[in-house]
Amino acid sequence: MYKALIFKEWLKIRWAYAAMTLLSLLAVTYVALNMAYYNEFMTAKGFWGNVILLGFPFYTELEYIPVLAGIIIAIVQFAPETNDSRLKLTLHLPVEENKLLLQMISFGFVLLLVLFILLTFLLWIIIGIYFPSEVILYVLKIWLPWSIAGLAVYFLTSAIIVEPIWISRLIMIPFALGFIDVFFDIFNHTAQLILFLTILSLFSSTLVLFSGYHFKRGIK
Amino acid sequence: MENVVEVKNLTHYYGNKLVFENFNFEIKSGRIFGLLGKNGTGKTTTINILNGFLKPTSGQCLMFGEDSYKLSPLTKARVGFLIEGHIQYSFMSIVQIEKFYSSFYPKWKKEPYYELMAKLEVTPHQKLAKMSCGQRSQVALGLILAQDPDLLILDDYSMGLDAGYRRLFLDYLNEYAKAESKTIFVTSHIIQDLENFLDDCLIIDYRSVLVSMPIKEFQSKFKQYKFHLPNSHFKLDKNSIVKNYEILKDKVTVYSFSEKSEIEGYLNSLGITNPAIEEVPMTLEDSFIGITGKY
Repeated sequence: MYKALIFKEWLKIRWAYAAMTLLSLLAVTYVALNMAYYNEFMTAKGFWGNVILLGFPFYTELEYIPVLAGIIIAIVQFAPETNDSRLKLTLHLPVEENKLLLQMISFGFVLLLVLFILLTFLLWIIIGIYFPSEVILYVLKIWLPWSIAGLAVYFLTSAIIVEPIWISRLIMIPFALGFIDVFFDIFNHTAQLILFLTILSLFSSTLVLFSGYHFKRGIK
Repeated sequence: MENVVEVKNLTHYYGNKLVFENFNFEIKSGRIFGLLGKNGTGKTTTINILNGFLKPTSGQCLMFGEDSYKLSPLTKARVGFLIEGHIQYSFMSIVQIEKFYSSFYPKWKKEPYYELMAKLEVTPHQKLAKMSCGQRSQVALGLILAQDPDLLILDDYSMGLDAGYRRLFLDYLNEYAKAESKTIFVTSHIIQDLENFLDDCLIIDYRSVLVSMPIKEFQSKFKQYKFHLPNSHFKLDKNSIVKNYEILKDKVTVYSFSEKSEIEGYLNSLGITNPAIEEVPMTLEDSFIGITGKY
């Protein structure tokens, strides 16, 4: 039963996921080529100096990749469900409704997590070619909130798409934009704040249950 | 016979707009029940309430004794649901969708599904999105038959279908329902197709129930009478005898559950003597239009 549900979600997501994976790999490759270029053009000493002393952001091409992935996966997964009220088919399946929605959103979450872990690993390797672990950790500390933003935006976009009440959608959109914006304020990211944002992001996964409840009860 | 569906004092509003008030009906096990009404009278609203996709303003719907507002997974497995427009997962192929649903239903029988698919000009790996409306309707029907539910709820199965596909749909459904003693709850806007299909009917108009009885009883008791007017200033009212009427120039058509003699007596009381009333036979569609009116 659960395998069947995963199969359905995979059918919807697979092409978009493949495209996002490809785009992410291209972005990482671009960053790697840029690093090679800076190393050559600025010389290793100059590149080091720019990064360590001036905080030169050689990785900015990756900044919005997780958010883009989160939005796209949420759209391809949940828009076909709400189009023509197809979610009724899913909610009519002989399974507890909240369990169904949580399984759907967990599947998207796991796929995004795998993609972001892969990107983190690749980033680690390419930065490690030129820099010591201190720089790797410094960049990953900036990259980590961007990745969590990707997960949060996935949860929030899913809830907005499933939500049948327009006024609720209109309230959720600015809230989502404001929440996501916090992840890109890189100068205030303490470990505690990152942990707090992670917990809030995971909590936002349950918003789809409220939207699902409104859909199920025909509240418009 | 047990009641598969019970609707008690159902009232529903969309905002301030009353859809229906104190709506009552029940569907007995093994019966084919038709909910008939013009567009916008609340047929799909009723089906949505029955399936728990809408909370009624007041009243109660029971399906297999359970409140439709909180159906258990076990009860849901006993109900086959065709959404208006034969909506299904269009991103799946014929094989994929059968495989998907089969794992949710313990009584799943793939034979009727593939038997129906063999009649269509489609390939097993063709996506539903690339099929015609008629073909998609057969996929949706095949899936419901394979589910082998005790109750089939079909919301306007005829939407978008040509005569051939409508006939194929009903032939299959009829054979299945009779062979397996299934209960069917159907709505349709093409009334003529249902003439030899339904056991019971409920005809609704805006906010009210017009008829609730076995279809044979309705067809035998509800009559159409025609006569010519003696003068153009004649006026009729709807009442316990005259359920509906039409006046076109000097031609009058009266729809009634009363016998011809009662109509004659009523017209006499209005001062019309010897009106030469003719009883005209009706199809189910004529009767439906007769009771609901053309507008």
